[in-house]
Amino acid sequence: MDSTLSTLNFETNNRALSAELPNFQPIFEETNQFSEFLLNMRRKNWDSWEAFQIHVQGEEMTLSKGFEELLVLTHLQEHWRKNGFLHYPHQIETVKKVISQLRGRAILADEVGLGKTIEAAMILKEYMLRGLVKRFLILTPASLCRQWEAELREKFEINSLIARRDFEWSQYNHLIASIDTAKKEDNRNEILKQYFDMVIVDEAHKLKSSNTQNFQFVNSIQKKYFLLLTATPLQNDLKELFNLITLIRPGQLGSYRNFKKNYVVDKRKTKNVNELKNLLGEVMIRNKHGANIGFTKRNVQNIPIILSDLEREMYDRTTAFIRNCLTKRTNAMSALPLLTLQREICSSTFAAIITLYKLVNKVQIDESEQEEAVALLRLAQQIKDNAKMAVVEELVRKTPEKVIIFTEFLGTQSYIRTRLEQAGILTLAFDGHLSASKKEFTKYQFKEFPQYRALVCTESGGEGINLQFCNTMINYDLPWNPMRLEQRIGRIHRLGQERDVFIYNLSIKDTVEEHLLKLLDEKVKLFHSVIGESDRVIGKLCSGKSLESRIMELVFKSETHEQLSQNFEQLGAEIEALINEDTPDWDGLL
Amino acid sequence: MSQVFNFIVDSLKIAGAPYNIINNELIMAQCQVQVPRTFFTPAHIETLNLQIVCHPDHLAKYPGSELVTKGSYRLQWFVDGIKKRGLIFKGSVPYELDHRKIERQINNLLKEAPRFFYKQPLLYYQPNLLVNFKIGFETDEKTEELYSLSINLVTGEIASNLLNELSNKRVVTTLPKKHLEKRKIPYSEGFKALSNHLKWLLQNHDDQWIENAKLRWQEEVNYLEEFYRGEPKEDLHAFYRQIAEIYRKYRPIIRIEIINVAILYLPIVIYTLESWEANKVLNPIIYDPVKQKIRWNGQ
Repeated sequence: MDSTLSTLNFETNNRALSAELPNFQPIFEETNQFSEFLLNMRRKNWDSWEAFQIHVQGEEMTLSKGFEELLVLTHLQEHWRKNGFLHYPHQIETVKKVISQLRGRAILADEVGLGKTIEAAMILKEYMLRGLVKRFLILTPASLCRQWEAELREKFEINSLIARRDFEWSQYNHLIASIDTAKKEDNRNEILKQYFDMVIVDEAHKLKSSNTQNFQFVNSIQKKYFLLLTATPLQNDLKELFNLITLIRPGQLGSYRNFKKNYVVDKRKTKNVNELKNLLGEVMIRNKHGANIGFTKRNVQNIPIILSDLEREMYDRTTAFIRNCLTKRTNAMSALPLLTLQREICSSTFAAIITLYKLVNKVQIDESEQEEAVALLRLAQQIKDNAKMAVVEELVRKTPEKVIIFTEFLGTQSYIRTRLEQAGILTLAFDGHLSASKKEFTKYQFKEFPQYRALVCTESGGEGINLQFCNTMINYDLPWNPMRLEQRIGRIHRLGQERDVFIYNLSIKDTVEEHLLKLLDEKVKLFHSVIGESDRVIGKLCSGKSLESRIMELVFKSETHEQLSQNFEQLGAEIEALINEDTPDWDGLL
Repeated sequence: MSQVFNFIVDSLKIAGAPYNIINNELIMAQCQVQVPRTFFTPAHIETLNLQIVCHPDHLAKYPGSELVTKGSYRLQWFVDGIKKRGLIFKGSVPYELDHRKIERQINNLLKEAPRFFYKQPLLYYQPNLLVNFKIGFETDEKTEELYSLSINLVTGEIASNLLNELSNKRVVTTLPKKHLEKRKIPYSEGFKALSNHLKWLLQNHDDQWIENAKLRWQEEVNYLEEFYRGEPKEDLHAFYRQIAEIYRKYRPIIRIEIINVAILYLPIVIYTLESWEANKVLNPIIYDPVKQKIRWNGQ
């Protein structure tokens, strides 16, 4: 086939295109008809001259004039004042830039916690107030739908619908949907028939690959204004960034071939950085943590816990049992329950009991292991209280504030709640089993009713929920994935938090937890760095083999506490080296 | 007192809501609000107590008060409420025939000293159709303007400043019992003429906003061309789809919205004249007291 025929010849096409392009003459549209007034005149529904005049005066006062002033600020000032909602200068600047310079199509790539959602909602409201947006669609991960709906309603007085069924896409104008729901065939077909004045995609890094269904679906939606929200527009490959920019404005970086030729050395290294930076600035805004954007202080206290004799015996025997099982492991038995058990035993014996019980009943396990599991189960049943709990109770009693207690396991969660309630402290539970509306209600109860002193959360329960009205958090156990720990802290330490934040980390002496905490605290500097800075570190740690699996490997490799300690030291050194290693070129780019 | 303050007071007056003004700074009002049927069937009426200040400095002076300024939610709330009122009006501008006064006013409007005697004046009321329009100039941006046009339903004369001229006149809802001239142009024809005149005005409106949008649109098209240059022909469909999507964003639209309509009977005085010179017949002078204009072509 002739190669010239198989590609677009723009010299010819330009001529064809200019002939086909519309002539840009204004279209006249009448929003109402004189006949409506005529009908009223026939019915003699005459009003007073004063009413006639004041009607015109009202219209005159609310005329839309240019983009110099943001309407949203004055429109919602009273609402925000009453509800104590604060906005920040960097957010206002972002809204102004998106509206007046970027023409309503932009990537909002602020670092975590700087309020991308607020910026997007302000842009949306501004366009709505000007009558330029009547229909919008917000696509988010399923876990954030409810939060978007609540934020729009509570902070911006925009009522919206979380759409799920195919008829809703054409029936309603203000829609929020999980991207997975929206791309289901029936829904997708309906959505692609519609025209939206604005589309917002949250967590847009999920669109980084142009071959995915998500990318192609979002790209096919007909839209006027378009916002992509992500804190990590660039993770592993420069092509990800190219794809995101292409969604917003195809051609901003030229064709991919040109982009590669002009700006890419290899997938992690760029050239002509300044030129590329300027081009990115035309479609992307990235606010970073810095002098202008202030956060309250993060106070962290690590509390070492000494196990009772019985608990210590339980911990040591369980670890040995897991190590033993894993060494002899045949394919028949999955390692997963054992790995979970190791993490559970660090959390509480009550969490471990459930897994031990399941192990005892497993068919694949051999007889000696089963006997040991039964012995461990019996031992666990003898333990009526955990050493950590006394500290938690004291902390909750001591602080005048409401406290959020995080744990990884449901067993631990119910133990904490039972113990606190026995001590006369009312609690609420937040876990993955709660429906979105129940979560909202629980959050409301916790915020509004003073009798509830503690909210006991599991990670899946607390995901994406903002609890800035609290400033005290207890990490009853530590997740082995630092990203999850950062997310826990992010629930209370984010923009909008007006008070200093207090974080208490409980770690049991001479266990994995103690080493893990030391690693996160001293090497990853998770608790001390400002939000966002640790993001970068965590991002590095989590690329390649996850830190979680590295830790698991260490635990099972080490037969004694000394060995474990030595191995953690080694891991710490590796992390330090990784952090100090040259950052890829794009750190200066974003 | 600010424009917003006055507007709120006037709105409350028109709505018949009880209100009290304190120190010309605070408005305390009680409004009846209809809670939508979604919650109550039939719709439920609730009383809303408002304490409004229009200057930020007054907020601290009156704790619990609400600041209402241009662009604020509460002002929009009042405007939205008042939009249901004053949609149509029928009335007249009453006028008293005072020979001396009228003659003086006509003399002032004449270019040279009159060389005639005034005879008997005749007072007529001519129907006028006044329509206020809101015009939105919309591309990816939007600005709005108000246009107020009127047509004399007897003569067909179109004017664009009647609303302003009436701002300092007494307008009443009653019509004079005598001297009402019948309209020669039906309302719908009159409106059509106003509508055509408005379109003519809009076609001659400064089109910089269109030119700016065209530049922005052209820039986007150039980017798209750059992106698809050298791509396989199958992508042509995507190219044109995106062109269409961008065009829809930047295309200029002029949205015409009728705000309200008034039928106004306005006085016209016709003076017959007698020339100083014998055997010379003069045409009568037509004097419009609202617009302060005369129409006279001498002999």
